[in-house]
Amino acid sequence: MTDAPFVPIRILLVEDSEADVELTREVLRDTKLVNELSVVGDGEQAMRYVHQEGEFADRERPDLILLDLNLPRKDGREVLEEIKAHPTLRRIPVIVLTMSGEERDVLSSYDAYVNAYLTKPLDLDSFATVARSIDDFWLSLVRLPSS
Amino acid sequence: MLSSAPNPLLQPTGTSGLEARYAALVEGSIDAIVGLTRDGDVTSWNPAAADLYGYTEEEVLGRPVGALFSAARRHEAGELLVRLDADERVVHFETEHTRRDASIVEVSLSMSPIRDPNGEVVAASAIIRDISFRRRHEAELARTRAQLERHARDLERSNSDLEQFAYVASHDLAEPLRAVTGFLQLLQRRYAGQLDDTADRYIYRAVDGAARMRSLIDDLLTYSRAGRTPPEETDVDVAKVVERVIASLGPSISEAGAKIEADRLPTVRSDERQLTQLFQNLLSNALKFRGQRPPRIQVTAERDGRAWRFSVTDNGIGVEARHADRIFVPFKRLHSRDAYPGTGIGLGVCKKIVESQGGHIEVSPAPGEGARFTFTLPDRPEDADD
Repeated sequence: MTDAPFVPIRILLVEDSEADVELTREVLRDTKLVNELSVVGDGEQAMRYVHQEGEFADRERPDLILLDLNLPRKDGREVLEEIKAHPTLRRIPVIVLTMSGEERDVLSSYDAYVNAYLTKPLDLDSFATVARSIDDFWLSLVRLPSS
Repeated sequence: MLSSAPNPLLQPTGTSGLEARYAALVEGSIDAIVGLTRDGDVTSWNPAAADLYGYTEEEVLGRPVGALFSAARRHEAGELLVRLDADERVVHFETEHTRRDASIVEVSLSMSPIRDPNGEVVAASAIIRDISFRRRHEAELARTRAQLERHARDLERSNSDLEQFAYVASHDLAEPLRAVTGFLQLLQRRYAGQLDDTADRYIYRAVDGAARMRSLIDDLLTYSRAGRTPPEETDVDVAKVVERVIASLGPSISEAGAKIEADRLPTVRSDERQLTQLFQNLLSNALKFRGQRPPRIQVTAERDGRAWRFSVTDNGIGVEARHADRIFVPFKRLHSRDAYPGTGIGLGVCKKIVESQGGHIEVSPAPGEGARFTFTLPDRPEDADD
């Protein structure tokens, strides 16, 4: 076994619904790669997390962000815009993961340079498929910038 | 023309043929015609003037025309006489006059100088028309317009409320539903074998219910938005639209062994997205509500006056005449979900789309067996010349 040194991929999940957090944990748990999943519940926390400020000072920057759009305090749209306007943070791939299939949300997210827009399926199996696809593509195939 | 004539108004008793003709014109006019001296004193007064103001000729002859103007507008009489002196015609000057009974009448006044054979302005003629009716009409129109504008604003507000509601429904209603479904499925998966068949069935029912709730929410959203966003009208090649819809229905078509034939279809002025959804719903219905035989579906178009009449005819199970209206009502279903799955929104959406474009949709029995859906799309101004 002479594989490259194992580097876990750090995922930041920005999601306010505890039920959704648990479901996402469940479906990601079944994927191939071992990841580090951190969770924050609102947009302000998300910004402190990526800036490694306050309670998140000792955290490392995430390699990938899964972002819900509708969040308390600062919502996902603002988080996306701020990250993508930041000279270094904007390198972190941001995947919007939301219930909203609204055209206007899709458009405004891509306008704000989102890396991918995914809708959360209602059905657990379909959600597992989405999680596997994220895993296959973003966490296995894609070469991410080294942090 | 009167102004260049040798002044018949000043000589109402003239007897020449020409003068008699003028006199008849003046007598019979429905507009008030008043002869004036150069200084503005009344020299003649026709019956229409008597009707309009309530004064007889005797009462007004020799009096200044300014007396007819309402107190607030009396200064205008002087101004008009000044313009007359400058050899100017006054056309449709709108002002307020006073009747004998002191009531105010809104009038339109035209005034022309009358010259003697040497070209000197010696007198004037005035034609006065009662425009209070027109004014009332204008006021009425203005009121109606204001009302329409208010309604449009209300509608816009209620549309944006609806839009907001739809958005909230799609997010906030779906969220808990997703939790219900997700955890039930987890329960099913993680505890498989530890629960008995009854428990499994309960879980299945609950998951199924939540999934149906989700389709209802989605369909309700589709329905609430159908035909409501302002249509983006372009020249739409209906043949291409139908072709694309058929392509997207590919799997269902081959599964059903169906054959879809389309006539020569026109290009119409319409909203392409809405038209696509319309054909999508009609054709997938035709596939879904099939009988024992493989579906044969025909799409046709024909001129109907200034409109186009399209039809989609199938050989399926058909629609009984007594249900012909009911099937267009959202969420009304004729068949059990087990026999024909779906929420029953498709035709409701079709109706909204067609009606929002000023058309009409209906169902009739197809010759033989099956159903024929017919809808019209009125011509848009842009294709009036083809």
